Amino acid sequence: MKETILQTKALCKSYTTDGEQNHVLKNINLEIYKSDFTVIMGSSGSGKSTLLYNLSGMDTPTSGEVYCGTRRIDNLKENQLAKLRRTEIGFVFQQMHLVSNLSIFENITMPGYLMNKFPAREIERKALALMESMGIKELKYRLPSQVSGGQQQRAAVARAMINEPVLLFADEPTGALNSKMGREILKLLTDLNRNGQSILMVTHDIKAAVRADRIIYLHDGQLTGEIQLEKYMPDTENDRERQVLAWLTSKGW
Amino acid sequence: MTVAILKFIMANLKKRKSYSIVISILIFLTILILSVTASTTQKSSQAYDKAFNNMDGPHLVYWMGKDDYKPEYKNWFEEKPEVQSVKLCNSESYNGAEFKDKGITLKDGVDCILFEYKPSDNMRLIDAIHPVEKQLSKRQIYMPYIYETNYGVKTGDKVDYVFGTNKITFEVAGFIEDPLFGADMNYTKRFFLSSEDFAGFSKMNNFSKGLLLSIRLKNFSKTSIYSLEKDFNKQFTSFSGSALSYMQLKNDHLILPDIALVVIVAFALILCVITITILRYAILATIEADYLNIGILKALGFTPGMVQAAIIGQYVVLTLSSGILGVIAGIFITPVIGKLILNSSGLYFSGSLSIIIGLLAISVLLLVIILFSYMTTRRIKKISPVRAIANGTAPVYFSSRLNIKLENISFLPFNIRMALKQMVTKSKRYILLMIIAALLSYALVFMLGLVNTFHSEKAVFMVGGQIRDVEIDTDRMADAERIVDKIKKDYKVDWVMYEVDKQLTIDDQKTTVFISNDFSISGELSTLEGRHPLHENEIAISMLLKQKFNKGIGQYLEVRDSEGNPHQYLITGTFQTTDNDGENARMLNSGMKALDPGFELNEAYVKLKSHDKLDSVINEMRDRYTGYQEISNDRTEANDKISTVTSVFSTISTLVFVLTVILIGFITLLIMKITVYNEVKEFGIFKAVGFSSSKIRLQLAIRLVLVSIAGGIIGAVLVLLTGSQLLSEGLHSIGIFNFKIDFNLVFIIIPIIVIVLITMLSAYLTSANAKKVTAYRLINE
Repeated sequence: MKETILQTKALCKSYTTDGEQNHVLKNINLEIYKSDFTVIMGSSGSGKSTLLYNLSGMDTPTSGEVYCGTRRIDNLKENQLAKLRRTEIGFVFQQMHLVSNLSIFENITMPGYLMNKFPAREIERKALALMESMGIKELKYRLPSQVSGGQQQRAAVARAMINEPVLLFADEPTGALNSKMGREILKLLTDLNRNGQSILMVTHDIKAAVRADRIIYLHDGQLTGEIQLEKYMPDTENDRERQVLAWLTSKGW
Repeated sequence: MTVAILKFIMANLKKRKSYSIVISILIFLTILILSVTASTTQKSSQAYDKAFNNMDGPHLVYWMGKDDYKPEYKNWFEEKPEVQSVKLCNSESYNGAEFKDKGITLKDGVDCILFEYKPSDNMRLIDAIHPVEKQLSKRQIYMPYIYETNYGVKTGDKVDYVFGTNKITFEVAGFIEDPLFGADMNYTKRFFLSSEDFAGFSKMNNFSKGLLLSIRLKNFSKTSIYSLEKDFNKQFTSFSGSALSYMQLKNDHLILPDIALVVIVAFALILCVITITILRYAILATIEADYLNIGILKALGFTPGMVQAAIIGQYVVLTLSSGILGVIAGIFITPVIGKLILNSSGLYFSGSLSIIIGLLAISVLLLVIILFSYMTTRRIKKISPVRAIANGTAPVYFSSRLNIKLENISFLPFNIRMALKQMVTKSKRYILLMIIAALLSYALVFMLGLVNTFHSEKAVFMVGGQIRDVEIDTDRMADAERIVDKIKKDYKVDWVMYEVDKQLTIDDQKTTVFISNDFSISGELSTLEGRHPLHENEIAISMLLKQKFNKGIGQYLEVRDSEGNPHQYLITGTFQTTDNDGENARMLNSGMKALDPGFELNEAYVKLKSHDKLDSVINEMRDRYTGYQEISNDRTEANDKISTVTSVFSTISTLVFVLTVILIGFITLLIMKITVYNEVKEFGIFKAVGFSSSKIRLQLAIRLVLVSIAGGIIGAVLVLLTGSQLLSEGLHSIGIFNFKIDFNLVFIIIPIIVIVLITMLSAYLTSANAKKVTAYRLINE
């Protein structure tokens, strides 16, 4: 039996524009499991990004409930949400979003210092280990503007991992990269998942999606299906791609 | 295109309401202060001239005892073609007489000179009982206006004129604006009585009979006045009275208001610099924030000049609208400030802000703003439409060279580390606040230093005086010595100095000379260069006399004796003083005896070891030696003079203090708005990694606090290094060449704390916008 680390109950999100209600998420019931690499897919405007904000505590649902483990998080106050983000959640953005005047090393250590759980030296040692594992150790004192997009995204992943989050969210992490760099990031995420890191990723890219253990499909704000896959092995990539594409096509992708 | 530019201007003003409001307030304050102070300066001078011309004021006044007067004096002036009129007025005075209101002496130590009131004198009457008839009845009196403004006397009050053991009660029938002796700092005051009362005093033998010879010129100038005075002194070398020129009289009345106005104008100029600096900052922030829009406009066919015109246009609109409001507000404020500033002058302030000055202030500021805006917006030329549209944001604006590694300062709390890092790497942005904090701290520490200096009696030393307790004025030196011996016997005495001031003709100029037995006895009189005279043929002169005679140490001055014969005196030293408009000399008793063998040092000044018993010394000596000598409290007079100056500086300090608080508050608000606007993406990132809004706001406040501490300290250090020198330079005209401001540590720390606290509070409160920033926005991009 898999352990649930994130769960939603009847999650709804709607916006009012010019007096007209726009229901973006409709009655979403979803469970994310520990150590899984879960991918959310859907066509443009399906609400997948909105779902990601609501699951990660960056936005609050209009109705319904969100649980992180056993703790309900949709009704947390701003300070409690901030604490949640620095202790239990890691986030990787499509545009990296590193702080431009902090070095790569400082960008990675910043959430560690902020959490204030470990001594500064311990955080710095951990950051160096993460940088080494991601192949960016030599970029320690470089500024984000002085490294490539792929290296920036690796640093962003390292920053998200510094506080050992329960769940790593990734929003189109390869969307701003060329295919080579994209592949490198996907490999990095796959490796992290192999080491037990739970990941929830939103993507358009089938090549990214095939890395998942589980793909959830969202259409017009509703969950319309999901597919469970075997653990990713590089040599099965083409078969998985065909399998996923067929499934997505059946869902109207 | 013009329509497009105008639309862009209006849209930007609307979009950046908070910038626009803060800049408008700064421009409003700058124009308000500049135009009010310039108008007040102009009107103060006009107020004096109006009072002066109203009574056909004299450009030269000679004052002498009735016995010293010779009809030739009047005749000599009347024959001069440049002289318009010559008037002679009688006065009566009693040594030590004073006016009391309900038993309390009004203005201690003042020489109360009585005159007969003649409506034909045309002096301005204020709050008079008989404003139309301009007449005085028996036992009615007109007092100088200063008694109403500074001493609380009202029309209709009963005041007692106390002379010797006698007392006569007068009803105050109104106040006169006296352009001769009306200033609070002047210790001779004219009181006007009815013809009947004046005749009564004239019959009393124990009253000193004086004469005021007033000469009015047809076309006067500084040179013509000096030339006439010089000719008179050459002609009548034995004349022993005092002389005062129009320039000296005007200076006596306007010196304090002028100093106050110079300080306020200096603050207004600081405000101008702050406004321009803020403006530059706001323009740079606008370009950064509008990077994409500017790219789009250029892509649409706008030239860089058009975009520049649109940005400059925003500030022209703001300058014109706020400037006009500043002038309108100034119309109402000028009379209030004018009255406040002229409080010590005894002059009546009338009129309001000069529209021409207001418009001139707006025009000058507008020109400066256009120039600076143009220079700052030149960088628009470098913005490439392709790059702007592709990137959407301006290139990085931080310095990668100026840096602090977070891990190197891990001993500090994380929020302070982050604040330091942001502050150092974005130092360009924060240097502005630092300069402003430094300027304001400079202004505040300077003003508080002045208040502190004048709060202490030691300020007397700065203006070339001494702290003395008892003044003994007798007819003969033997009498003075007798009283001094008695005081020495009964009380502990610190020192005794015999000193008399006399008008002598030096290099053909009537000059006040202080004659003493020993100038070093108190240890409080110092020289700036050289030394005081030690031999009979030596003289020390004030710095202004040195400039006037164009002679220095080692050179000789020609001093005439009572027969008009010249004697040579060697200049041994120079000193600073504000007495006699900064122009006087010091000579030994032996030196004076060479000019007048019968001369006696008949005045003595006593400094007690403890002045607690001062009142009992005065009362006891007055009782014992009643009748023929004046024994008075000299310390009160000195303190009174100091308190007049202190109150002026305290008022200005309060004004500067309030303006500083407002300015720091508004500027911090502006910087916060711009920072939040520019760093919105970073705040999103911070929030995404777990920063709470309060932590971000705290970090922002810490940044500005660190900057304001640095600015505050820089300002304080600069004022310590340059304040005294700067003030001394500004005080040369009144005779002060080396003024040491007494900076007290508390008065240095208080301004810094105030600046830091206001910055912190304002930064924290105005950074509330950071609350609205969400990490959500990052995903949206």
